Amino acid sequence: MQFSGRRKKLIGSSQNDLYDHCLQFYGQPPLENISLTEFETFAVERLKLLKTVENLGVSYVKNSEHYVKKLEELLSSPTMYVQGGTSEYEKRRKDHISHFILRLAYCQTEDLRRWFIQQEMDLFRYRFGDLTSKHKTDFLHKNNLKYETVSAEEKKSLKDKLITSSYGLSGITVEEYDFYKVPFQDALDLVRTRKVYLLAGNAYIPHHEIVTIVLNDFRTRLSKALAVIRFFYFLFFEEIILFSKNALSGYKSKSFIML
Amino acid sequence: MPTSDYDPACLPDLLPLYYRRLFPFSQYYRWLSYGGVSKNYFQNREFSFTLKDDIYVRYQSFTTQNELEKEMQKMVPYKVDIGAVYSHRPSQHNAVKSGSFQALEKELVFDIDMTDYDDVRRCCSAADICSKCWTLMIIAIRILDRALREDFGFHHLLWVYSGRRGVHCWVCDDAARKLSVAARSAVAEYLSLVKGGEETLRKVVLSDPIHPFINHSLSVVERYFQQYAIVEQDILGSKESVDKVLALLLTTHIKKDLTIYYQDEKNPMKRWDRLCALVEHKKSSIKKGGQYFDKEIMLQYCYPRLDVNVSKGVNHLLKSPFSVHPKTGRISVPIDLKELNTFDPFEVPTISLICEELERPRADEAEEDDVKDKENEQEAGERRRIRDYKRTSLAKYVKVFDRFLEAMARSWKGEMLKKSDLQKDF
Repeated sequence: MQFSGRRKKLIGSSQNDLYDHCLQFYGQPPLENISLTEFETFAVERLKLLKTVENLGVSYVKNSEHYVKKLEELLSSPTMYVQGGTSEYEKRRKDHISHFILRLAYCQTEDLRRWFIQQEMDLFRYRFGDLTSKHKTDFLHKNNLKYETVSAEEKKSLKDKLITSSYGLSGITVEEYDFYKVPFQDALDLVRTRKVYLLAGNAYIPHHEIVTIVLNDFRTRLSKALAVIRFFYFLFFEEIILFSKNALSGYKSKSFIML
Repeated sequence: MPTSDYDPACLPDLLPLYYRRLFPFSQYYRWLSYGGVSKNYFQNREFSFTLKDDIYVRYQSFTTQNELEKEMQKMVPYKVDIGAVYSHRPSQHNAVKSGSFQALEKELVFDIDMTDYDDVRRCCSAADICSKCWTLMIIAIRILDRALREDFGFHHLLWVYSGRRGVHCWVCDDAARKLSVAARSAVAEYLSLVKGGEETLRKVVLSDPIHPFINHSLSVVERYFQQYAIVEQDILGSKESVDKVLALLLTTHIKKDLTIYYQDEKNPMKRWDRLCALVEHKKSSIKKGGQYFDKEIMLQYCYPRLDVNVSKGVNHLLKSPFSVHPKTGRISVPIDLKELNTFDPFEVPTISLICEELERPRADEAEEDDVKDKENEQEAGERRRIRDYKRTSLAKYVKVFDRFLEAMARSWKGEMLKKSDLQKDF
């Protein structure tokens, strides 16, 4: 789904289409105009968030219970909210825009890129893991990761094979957990080490492994995007037209982005 | 005697005849064009030729079937290899800006070479093969063919006898041709169970849980093991080979037990049964490890040994089907899997045989064919050639190739329809 390329202010009904999921791959850059204040606030807050994610990753074992709890607290804190806008739409919009602003700041050097990708991945991993099973599948489909969940009947018929192909699974977990059918080309690490069941070109991935695959995809996309931005850095920046309701129409500043 | 005596010195005389009248150019071109679904697929394909005196030329490419024929008839290659489909015509690769000339697609290929089994076959070594060790190729084909079809979902596999000591597999599905280096290497690793070089004694190590792929492969190996390994290869016959087998058992008490038992029991089958019984007994013991020794031994002696490097590279060149093997004179012919049990590599026609068969007087061709020949020269030439190979032992192998192409053609049709639908080109 694509909006018109012209930079128009987005209002109303398109709200539902633009941010139809709480999580995204940040594939499309924001196409609206925002005020200088929002620009600044969004960027600073996301940066604070990423720095906190980084600190958490140092203080706690990543993905451990404590880590997850702390991250949960963080994301529900009031500072994550835009003043005066706490709707789901506002949250998602902020998430979207702030990510893209930081891309500009962090595309310049290898170190910056690596740092940014690492924190964004950790944040993404947590948020993806937090989704319900249905929302996970929705997310996958919306992002062209056409991964179907395996039906209960199929799981039953393949139960023994699934148990013997993935580490640490029992009959019970196979029944309870979701399995995803992923084209084998998207699960090469598991295929190479024969840690997954393959049938007709599809790898049957238990849900705790799907995160790895999605993360790989996330990292690849972000890495590519940063490389492109870096290349077009100065060109790109010229395109950002900020205007505010006050007298700052057409304000452009390169130095602004250096946080 | 199906093979005329082949003498490599005759190649310079036989090859021109082969390329003029027997090589199935029309089917070959049809294969490599893949239905014309992708533009320039044939034109951007690299071929390499090995000419007389071992002169090797790469980056050969051709615009039409006719050009391919003329060049091969002119250059008379001793060997023909097929490489990748590139971003530009390989023959013009020097004119392309460095970095832009890239290998884009190629079939996924596997090369099973009998020399890789030298440490476990007693009948032959190096370039020799016999009907006893040929069983290893049958096992390899059955295991890999099943896995590539059932596990990986590929449909269009062409198995080819290399002409001397091995077999090749060309996986021609669209998805296979588009695989990255990483994906090819992952597929090859998934299919690899025998690991380690000369220094490694125990080349197969199994642990719980046993992956379904390994179980499938084991059931194939088990079908052949007793007759192939115990009877024909006699791996539990002489002291020397018994020692080799026992060296794979890490558990000393099993080794000791067997050494004593083998002093009296000389029957190899009974010896094997005892080994299996002891391993089975061990399984029920509390201590871990060694529960799969018997299976590991079977796999080490029989499981297919792949060269991952051959499969990995998109730009890797592999011997072409219908190429001649200069040392044996045998044609690299497609193998019909339905007749795999009766395939005999020593029955594969040599170039001398089929050239000789060509010279035999025509049995039934009537004058009506001559009338038809008055038409278009090329068509006539082609039809003559089709009649020609049909008179030789090459015919049945070209039929296998035809069936393979027909199956693929059905999928090309689907692709073309999809494409024209997308372009709204009704």
